[in-house]
Amino acid sequence: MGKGIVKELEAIVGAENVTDEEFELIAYSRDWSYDGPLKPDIIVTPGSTEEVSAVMKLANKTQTPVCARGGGTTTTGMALPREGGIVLDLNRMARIDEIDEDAMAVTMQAGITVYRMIKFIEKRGWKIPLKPKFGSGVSMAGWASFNGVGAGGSLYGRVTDMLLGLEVVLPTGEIVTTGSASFRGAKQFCRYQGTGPDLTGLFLNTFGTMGVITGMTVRVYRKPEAEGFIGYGFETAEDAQEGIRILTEANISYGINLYDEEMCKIAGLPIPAPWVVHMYAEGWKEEVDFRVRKGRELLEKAGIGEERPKAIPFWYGVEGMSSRLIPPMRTACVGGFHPLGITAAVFHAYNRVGEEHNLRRGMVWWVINNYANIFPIYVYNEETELDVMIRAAHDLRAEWSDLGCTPDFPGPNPDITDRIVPEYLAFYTKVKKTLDPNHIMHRGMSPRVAY
Amino acid sequence: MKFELLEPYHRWIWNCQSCSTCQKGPQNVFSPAGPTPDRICPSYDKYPRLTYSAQGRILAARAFLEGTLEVTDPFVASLYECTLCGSCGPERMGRSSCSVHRQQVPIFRALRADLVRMGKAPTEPYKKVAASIEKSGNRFGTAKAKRSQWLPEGMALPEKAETLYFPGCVATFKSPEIARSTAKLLRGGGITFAVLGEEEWCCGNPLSASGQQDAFESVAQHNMAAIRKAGAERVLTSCACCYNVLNFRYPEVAGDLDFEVVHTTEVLAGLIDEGKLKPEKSLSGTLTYQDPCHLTRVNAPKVSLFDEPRKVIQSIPGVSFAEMEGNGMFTQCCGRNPYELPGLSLHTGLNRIKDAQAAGADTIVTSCAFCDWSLSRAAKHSDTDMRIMDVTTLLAKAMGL
Repeated sequence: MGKGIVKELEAIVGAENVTDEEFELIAYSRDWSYDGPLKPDIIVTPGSTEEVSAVMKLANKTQTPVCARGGGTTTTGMALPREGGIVLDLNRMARIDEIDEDAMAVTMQAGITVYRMIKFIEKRGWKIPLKPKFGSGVSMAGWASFNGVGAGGSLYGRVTDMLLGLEVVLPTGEIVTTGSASFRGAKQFCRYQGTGPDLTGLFLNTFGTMGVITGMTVRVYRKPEAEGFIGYGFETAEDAQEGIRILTEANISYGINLYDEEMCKIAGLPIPAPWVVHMYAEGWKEEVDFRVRKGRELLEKAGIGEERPKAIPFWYGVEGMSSRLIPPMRTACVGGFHPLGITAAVFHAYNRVGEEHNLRRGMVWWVINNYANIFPIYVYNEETELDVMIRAAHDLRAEWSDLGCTPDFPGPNPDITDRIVPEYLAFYTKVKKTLDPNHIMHRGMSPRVAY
Repeated sequence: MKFELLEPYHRWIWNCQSCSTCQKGPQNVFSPAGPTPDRICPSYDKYPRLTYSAQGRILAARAFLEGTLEVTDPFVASLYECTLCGSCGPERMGRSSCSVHRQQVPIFRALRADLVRMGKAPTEPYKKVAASIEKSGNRFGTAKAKRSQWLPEGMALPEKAETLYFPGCVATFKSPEIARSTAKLLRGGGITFAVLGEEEWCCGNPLSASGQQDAFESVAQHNMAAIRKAGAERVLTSCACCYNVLNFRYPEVAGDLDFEVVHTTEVLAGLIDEGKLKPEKSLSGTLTYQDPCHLTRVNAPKVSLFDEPRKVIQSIPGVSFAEMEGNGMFTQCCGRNPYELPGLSLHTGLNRIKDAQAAGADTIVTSCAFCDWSLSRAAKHSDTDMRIMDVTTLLAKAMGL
């Protein structure tokens, strides 16, 4: 890539916010996935939406690939530039506005980390729907782009369900605001309104392929008076599946997690059992007492599982999870989604693949409304084992796909793209080409589109 | 030349999962340990690119070991834009949230030492400090004969004593009121002590931190010999950096210590507990405390002097106390290196002053001469009336000394 574009970028964001030094490119060549090293040609750290817009106009004109990066903490490789070009590091864009209590919403720049945003609003007596537990640096843009989860999914869905609207820079550089604020004079208070389809959704769960999310408004709630929690141990995957089905169907909890025993050990949850289910409740104190009591009653009536009074919530136990992986070990995660009814089958497939490849493993499920989001972890010790891990991930995706699971991202995996229904892929391609005519955004992260 | 000192850390370097904890901290707000500070790494806070975080530096180290990256001057400059404060690897609830498992500072020290051996480092300011130490035995290049000028007027000291006071370069030449207050408090508490005078050389911290190992070994050997000659069983430091280097770096080059290294706050808290120091003069104001990184985080769990300085501060009548965001294990670096890293030091110091203001404090108390120096410089550049005091000068004031 020529020095000319570097000069032009410097003119947009300032020389101190552009670099093409080799050692700096290497710093951006990996993220929390097992992909990489994949180096960009240039790193740009914009400070405003207008700067992002100018960068995108230049990139589109010069057909330079762009990869937006927040914390770089997904396991999908979303933050890696698969074909070089510009990495747009959004971490400088982390301003958050005061909570709009009338609209019960808070607006922020998208580079702010999720935890910093939560800390900000919780100090003021508010909360967001989800209680996530993940890497420290996850940005709001990244969370939305990946459509992440957290405890709270049973009631509130996923992160994209709590967003009221976005500020997005399109691949061609235009700045667009979606949600109610797309209507003149209206502030951002609701996502779906009379001006058309849900264009907010175009940019969510799309791994940065449709544009750069630079700002967003999130629905907030008053912090509940009380929270409750119970933990149950189960002897078989089938019993655990029945347990989460009962709790989900009863609609009494805001969050349900399931763990296998190995994940309990890795996460430091002091309740080893072959399978463990956590149920969370929130609300007024009497309400929480009722929900917890009801959950207990239902599981006891079904005659499965046994309460573990010493259970602690997931986000307590996982503190320092990485330090339990010494001597040096790395983990890799291959996520996906499935209906609750095949939970046990999903686990058995995962366990079988892990056994075949001789990998240490642990698995956690987050229940999202009526389905589950799975985070299976494979652990490997040596650099040379990475290939084994990648083969295991490939095998696992194939097995799960046969069971009726969907992947958590299409990414660069042709085996996933090939399973997308052709008519859907054609529709997707039309939309993608309209938004990103020169195919500059996050190349390799969307389903394969023929340009 | 190979990266011989870096190589032993290969597994830890490889184990970095690029998880961003070194830039953002283990932020899990739902942990029983509560939220962590918004700022974590001073270097990344000033230069918000991964290159200036532990993650970026570790990826560069990995590339060096794999032979895919050449050392360049800009890289060396970026590597030295790190105060080695250890904020990239804090623990909570006794657990590290990072899979490099607190090996970041040793990795960066080893990398710097390798680069020095290759003739590619250190940066110019560190070379100048090394030259000053070689010439004058202190980082400021001040004449050796002025080493004891800080001594309170009329205070005579024995040549030998069980306790040896090692004020360090900054408390000797830059903030002599710290050394004077310490001497008066020790005397007031009934502790007989000696000093090395001209035989006290810089502890070697800037040499060790910058990877100038040969020069460091030379001063370490000198000071060890001088301390032994003085017959000291206990060495008392005013500076967290001296404390760290004497305690943990000297044994690496000069064998096991045959003396104990203690910090002033430990001794003063003990004297207050024993009733030998009774601060009775009422002072006013809202104080906060700057935990020096080397007394809380860098050497934890071996060293964690969290309670002692607070005990001293809270023994003083009339003042109120407020914690800043970022204390104890999550303390924020003061900036530490006004000479070597003037820009970063000022940026970091100013942030700390903002933290103190947010806590409602009008005075930052610290227990490290380096913190005192760095924060005082920042206070002069800020638009606040924030006062900076060492815990010894505060206590001496409350005792009318």
